Amino acid sequence: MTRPSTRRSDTGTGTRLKRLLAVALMVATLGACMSNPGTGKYDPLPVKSQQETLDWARQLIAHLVQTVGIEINSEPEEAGFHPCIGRNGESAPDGRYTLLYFVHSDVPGARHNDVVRSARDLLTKEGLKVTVYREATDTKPSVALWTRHPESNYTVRVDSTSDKRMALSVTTPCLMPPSASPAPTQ
Amino acid sequence: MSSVYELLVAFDPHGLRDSAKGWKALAHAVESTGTRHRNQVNGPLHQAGTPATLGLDQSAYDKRKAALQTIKNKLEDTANTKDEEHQMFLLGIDPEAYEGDGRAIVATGNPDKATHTAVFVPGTNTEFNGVPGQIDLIRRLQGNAKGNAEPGETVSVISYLGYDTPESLLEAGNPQRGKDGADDMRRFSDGLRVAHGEPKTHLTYVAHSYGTYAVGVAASGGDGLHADDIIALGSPGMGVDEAKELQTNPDHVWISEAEDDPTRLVGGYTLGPGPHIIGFGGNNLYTDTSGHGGYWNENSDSFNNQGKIIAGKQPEVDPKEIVIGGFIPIWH
Repeated sequence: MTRPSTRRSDTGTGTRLKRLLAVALMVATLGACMSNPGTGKYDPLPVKSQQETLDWARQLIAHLVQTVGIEINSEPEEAGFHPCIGRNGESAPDGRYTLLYFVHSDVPGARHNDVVRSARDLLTKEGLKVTVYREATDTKPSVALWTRHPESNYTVRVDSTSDKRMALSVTTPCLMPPSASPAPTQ
Repeated sequence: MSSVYELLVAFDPHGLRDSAKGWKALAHAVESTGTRHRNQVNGPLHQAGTPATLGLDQSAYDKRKAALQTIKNKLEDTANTKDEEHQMFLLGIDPEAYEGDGRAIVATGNPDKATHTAVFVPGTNTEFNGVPGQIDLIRRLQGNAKGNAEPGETVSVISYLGYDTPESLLEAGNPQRGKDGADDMRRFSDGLRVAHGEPKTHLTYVAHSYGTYAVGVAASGGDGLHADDIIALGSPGMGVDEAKELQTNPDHVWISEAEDDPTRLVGGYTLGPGPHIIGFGGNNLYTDTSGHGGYWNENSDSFNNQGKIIAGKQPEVDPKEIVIGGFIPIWH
């Protein structure tokens, strides 16, 4: 495992332009979603409805797959809203939640390294920090890219699940729904 | 008006059923460990519906009642879910077991049929009133493992409050409770394996704190737990000197120990060496959380690693740790 790597992939001008546009859109999207996250232990939780959070995660992954040149496959997305759990197993009755969001992409194993490099470039430009980065080798054929936003504390991960498929996931920190938060459409 | 106990035991959408052959085996395994069948549990609990008959003060009774109501609500929430993987299964419940600490075994997803089954074994200070939080945790573990699994594979995660967990740090140094619970845990695992049938499905034990000792003792004795993978989170010792004694391939024994987890200080005393040190064997997991209770922080890499193992995938690992001078094996 390498945390982090400094390798960069080559890109053409057109591709670079598209990526810059995608990054700009993602910055705007994420900024709106996770603004004022707070960094102190007793800061209020970010307020966001489940539907807004799910829409944000979908949009983030859509930009990611478009930029790295892969497609989400036909498997159902896994979108789970879960109660926040304290360090002693306790939970508050106010509806605070986290999102665990997974989609998958059919990608030939020979392309996994390219995908993970491109994804790393995009996400680090966005300001996410790489916590795990691994390219495939002969002895370890799976790739892993785990990133985390240092302030908003959401994660974006890209992993090989097999030699022909990749998982892309987003997880959020604990979020607080506004009162009468609308139910998500899945 | 019915007591909450009555409401809970009367509500049994999936749990403890014995129509399917798998559930017969599992229910038998659970029964044999002391958990009563629904019809048997009705009687005692019906009679024990007040603080006086339970021997609890009003505050303790209210907390117990709230926990039961929450468990019932969580079961009800999934009762009409068509997808069995998202249903909850009540495998065993006895709030009065272990001198009132309580016993509860609950699954999310059908452990009979799942491609990947995980058993979560909690540790010190986890009692019946904490079961709702345990249910939230196993659902999140299931979601993470599902995302890492292959298409068509299913995941079930079981919360196993099936031994008498220590109530204090002082009690946590006593190996007796782990030893006392080992036979029950092995029988439970036997039941899971019988229910799974052939071909064998993938079985992972995920244990925290004193639960890692309880799992270690159960895995190393008798025929073991038949686990394909064992994850030890914040372990004070697993009752063995080396991973290979756990009757599971040591390459599939995974240890997660936060840098500031105080259990680092107790290895080698009463429960065995800290399993994160180099002489123990197994693999150390890359751990990005802090303290003894952070291993399942919402979006931590530590938690993601657990989901990958449950799904049969390779987690991210770190080197084993070298302790200057090793440890003094005074625990023997």
